[in-house]
Amino acid sequence: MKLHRLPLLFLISVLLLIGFSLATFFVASLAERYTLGHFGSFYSYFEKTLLLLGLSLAVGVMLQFVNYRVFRYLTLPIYVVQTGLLVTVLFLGRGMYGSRRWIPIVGSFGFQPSEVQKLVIILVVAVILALPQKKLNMGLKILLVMAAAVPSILLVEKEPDLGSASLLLAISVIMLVHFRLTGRQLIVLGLVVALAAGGAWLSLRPYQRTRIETFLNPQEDPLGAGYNVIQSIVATGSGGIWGRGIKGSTQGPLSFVPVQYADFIFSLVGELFGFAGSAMLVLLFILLLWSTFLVFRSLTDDFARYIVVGIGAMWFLQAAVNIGMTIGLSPVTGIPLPFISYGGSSLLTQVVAASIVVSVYRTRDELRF
Amino acid sequence: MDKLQQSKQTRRFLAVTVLFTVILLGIMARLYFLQVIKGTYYAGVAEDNRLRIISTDAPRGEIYDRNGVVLATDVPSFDIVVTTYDLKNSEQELGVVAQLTGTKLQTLKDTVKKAGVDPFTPIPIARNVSKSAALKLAEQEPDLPGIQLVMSTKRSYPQGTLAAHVLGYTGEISDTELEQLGANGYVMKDTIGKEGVELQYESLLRGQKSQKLIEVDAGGKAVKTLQEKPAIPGKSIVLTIDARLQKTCEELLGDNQGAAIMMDPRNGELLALASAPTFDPNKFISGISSEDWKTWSAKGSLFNRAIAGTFPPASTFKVVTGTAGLETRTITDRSIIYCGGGLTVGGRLFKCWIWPGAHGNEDIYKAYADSCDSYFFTVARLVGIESMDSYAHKFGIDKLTGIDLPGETTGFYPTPQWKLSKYKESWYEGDTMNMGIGQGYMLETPIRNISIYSSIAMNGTLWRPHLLKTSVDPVTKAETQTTPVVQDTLGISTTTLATVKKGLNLVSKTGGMTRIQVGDIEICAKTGTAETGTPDLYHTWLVAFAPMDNPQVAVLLMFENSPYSRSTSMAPLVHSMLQQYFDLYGGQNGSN
Repeated sequence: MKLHRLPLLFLISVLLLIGFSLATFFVASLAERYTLGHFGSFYSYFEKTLLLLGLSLAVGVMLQFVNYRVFRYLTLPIYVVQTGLLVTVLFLGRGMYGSRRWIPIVGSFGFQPSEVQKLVIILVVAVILALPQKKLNMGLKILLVMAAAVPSILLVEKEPDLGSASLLLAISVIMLVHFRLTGRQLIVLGLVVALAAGGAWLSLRPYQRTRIETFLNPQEDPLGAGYNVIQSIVATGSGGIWGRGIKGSTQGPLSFVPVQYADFIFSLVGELFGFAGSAMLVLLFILLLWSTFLVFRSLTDDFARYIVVGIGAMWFLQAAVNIGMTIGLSPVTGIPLPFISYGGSSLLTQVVAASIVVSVYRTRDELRF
Repeated sequence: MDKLQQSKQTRRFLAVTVLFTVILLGIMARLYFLQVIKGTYYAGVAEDNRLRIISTDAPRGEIYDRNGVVLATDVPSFDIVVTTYDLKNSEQELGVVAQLTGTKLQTLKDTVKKAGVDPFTPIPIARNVSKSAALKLAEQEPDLPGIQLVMSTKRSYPQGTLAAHVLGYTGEISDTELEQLGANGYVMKDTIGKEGVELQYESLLRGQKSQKLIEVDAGGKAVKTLQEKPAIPGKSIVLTIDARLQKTCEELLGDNQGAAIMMDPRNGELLALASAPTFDPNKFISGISSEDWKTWSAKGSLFNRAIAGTFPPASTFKVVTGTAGLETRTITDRSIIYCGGGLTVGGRLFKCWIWPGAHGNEDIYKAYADSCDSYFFTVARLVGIESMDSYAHKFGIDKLTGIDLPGETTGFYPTPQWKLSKYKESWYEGDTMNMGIGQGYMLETPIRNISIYSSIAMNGTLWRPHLLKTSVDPVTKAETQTTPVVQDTLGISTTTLATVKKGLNLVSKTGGMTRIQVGDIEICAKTGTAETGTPDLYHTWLVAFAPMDNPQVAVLLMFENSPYSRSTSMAPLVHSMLQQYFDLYGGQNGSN
C-alpha cells in the first residue's frame, strides 16, 4: 500500500472525528465519576465504543484488500439480505417507545438494519446510475432507483423510524439530482417527491406530529414533548466558551438530557467542551465534507463517483440534522451523529463507508489529461 | 461517462459542498449564540436543574395561658401531595383525591398548575385531610403513582372555643398574602396566622423550615446532599390570659352578644378578653363547613366585639364629663346641681333617666352614685363642646389603645365641624348635653372603655393593654418578657381623679349595685345603659376596678342588645368576676 495513494486529509478528518468521540465519552465518564462518586454509564459507553471501534476498523481494513468494483456484483445480494432484515426487524425488533428498530444479538448488543441500509441504498443507487447508457436509458434508471429505494423507505418508516426513512429518501434524491437530469425529469422527480412527502405527512403518527409541533415551539409543552429539546439546549448552552469540564458538567452525568450518549451526544460535547469544542467538531465535519469532495474530484469512474456523492450526502445530512436537533434548529429524530454517537450499527456503517471512500480513492484510475 | 459531463458533475458537487459548508457555518453561528452570548444564562438554568431545595415545615410555636394551660398546639395530621412526573393518569388520580377530600377537581388542577415547579417536586394539594379520607387514600395509594399521603402537623386548639377571639386561627396562605410575604420565604399552601394572636405573633410562632440543598438527577433522585439546615421550631408564647378567668367571662356572656374584659391596670396585662357569640377555631383548620360559616356570619361570631365593636358608652362616659367639669374648674366637688327630673334647653326637655321622678340636689359624688343625667347634662353644657371634645380626645376615645391584636378600631366623638359636614346642621347645646351622658353620636370600643377606667385607677397612667407575656425560644429555652409600655398619660390632677374615684366607689355602695361587693374590698364601678333605637332594648355596660386605693384589676362587662333593661342587674355578674379574681390572686400583692 503506497502512502501517496491514500487520501490523507480524508483519513485525518475521519480519525479526528473518531478520536473526538472517544475523548467525549472518556471525559464524560470522568465528569460522571466526579458527580456521582463512581463510574457510571458513560464509562461503559467508552469501553463498548472502543470494542466496537476495533471491530469496525478491522472490517474497514479488510475492505482495503478488495477492489470496490466487486460491489457492482455484491450489492444485489446484500440488498436482498438487508431488505430481508428490515422485514425481520418488524417482527423481532426491539426499541424504545414501542418501536422495532434493533434485532437483538448478544446482551445489550443489537443490530440496527436501518443504519446499514443507508449504505446499501447508496450502493444500489450508484450501481443503477452507473449502468452503461446503452443498456438502460435515463427514465428507466430513475424508475429503477425508485423501485429499489421505496420499499426500504417504507419498511424503515414502518418500524417506525421516520428520521431514517426521510434520510434514505433524501440520499436517493440527492444522488438522483446529481445524476445528469434534464429539466423535465427534474420536474417529474420533484412532483414524485412532493407526492411522497404529502403522503408521509398524512400518515404521520401522533407522536411524530407532536415532535414536529414541538420543534416549532418547544416552550409550548416544556415538561412534555419539548423537555428533551429544552434540556439539550440548556446543556449545550451551559458549556459557555470553554466548557464546564469534568467538575462543572452536570446535565449529562445527572441524565437531564435524554439519550445523551447517542442522539443528543452533541449537547454533551457542548457542555463538556463549550463553544471551543463544539465549533471544532462542526469544523471537523466541514473538513470531512471538503476532503470527500477532493476524493470525488480525483475520480473518473462513474460508479465510484456516485458512491462518494451518496456517502458525502449521508454524512452532511446526518450531521446537520443531528446537531440542528440538539440546538433546536430541526425536529427531534433518531438520527445519530456520524462517528460520534454511541451505537454499533452506526459506527460500523460509518467506518465501512469511510473505508469504501478510501478504497475508491486507492484503486481509482489516474486522471490523464 | 464523458469528461465534460464529469467536470460538470464536479462543479455541481463543489456547489453542493459550498452550500453544505454554509449550512454548517450557520449551525456554528447558532452555537456561538447559545454558548458564548447566552452561555451564562444557560449555566444558571443548568444549576437550577440539578439543585433542589427540599424543605419541611417547622413546628409552630405553642400558645399557653399565663399558668401554662395549652391554648394552641400542633398535632399530627395528613397531607396529600402530588408529584406530576409520576402521574400516570392525572385526571383519574386527581379525581380520586377530589372525591375523598370533597374538593373540586378543577381546584386541584389549578393548584398543581399554579405551583409552577418542576415535575419532580411534590406539590401539596390538600392539607389536614380527615382520618377517614387518609385511610381510604392509603388503601388506594398503590393505584395512584403520582399521589402520596405524607405525615404533617395541623394546628389544634385543645380548649375549643375558649379565648377564640384572642387566639384567632391559622389557615392556608392566600394569594395576596403570598404576594406580600413571598420574600419572607412563604410558599404556596403554607400555614399562616389568619386572626388574633396567631396573626399578631406570626413571626414568633412560625418556625424556620428545614432546608436541604440536594443535587438530583433528571429523575429527581437525590444524588448528594450539599447543605443541610435543620428546622427551627417556632417560639412558644405565654399569654397574659388566665384561662379560668377567661372561662368565667365567657360563661357570663353566655349566648348573648357582648364583651368581657379583665385587665391588670398596673401593667396592661389582659387576664381575660372575651367576645360573644364565639366560634371554634378548630373548625377553620380542616376547612370550615359552609353551614358553620353561614351560622357564624349571621351571628357575627367571628367579630371581636371587645376590640372592634363600637357602642355608645352611655353613663360610663360620665367619668370624662366629670373630669372635664372639675379640671376646667366649671364645678368643684362641692358644687350642687338640682335635678328636677330633667331640664329644658332650647325648648326641648332633656329627661334624666329617673324622669318623671327627680334626684333633687346632687353633688358630684351623689351624681355618680345615682348616675344623674341632669347633673352631667348641666356640666357638659357649662363646660362647652370644645372642652368636652378635648377631654374625649385626652381619654383617647379617637385613638387606638395599641392592644396587640389585629383589627382594633377607634371610638368616635362628635365635633361641630363634623356635624356640619355630615348632616349640614349646626351644633346645638343639646348635642353637647347628650355627649355629656355618652349618648348621641358617641361611640367607644370596650377595650377603650376599660382603658379609661384603668388610667383613672392608675392616677392618669394608661399601660398599653397587651396579651403577650413571654415568648420562649424552643432551643435555648430563653424567655423574653414583655416590658409593659405606658401608652398614655392623661395629665389630669390627682385631686380630680380622687374625686372621680370617690364617686365611683359610692356607685358600688348604692342600690342594686351593692351586689358587686367582694368582701370589704373598696370597688369603683360605673354602669351605662345605652339606647339602641329600639324601645326597651339597650346596650348595657358595667366597668369597675378594685381595690380603689391599690388597684389590681379592672373589669368590664358589656351586653349588646342586652338581656337586661337595667345595667345594675349586671352587678352580680361582675361580682363573680371580681370574686374569682380575688380568690385567685387576692392573697398576693399583685397578679403574676
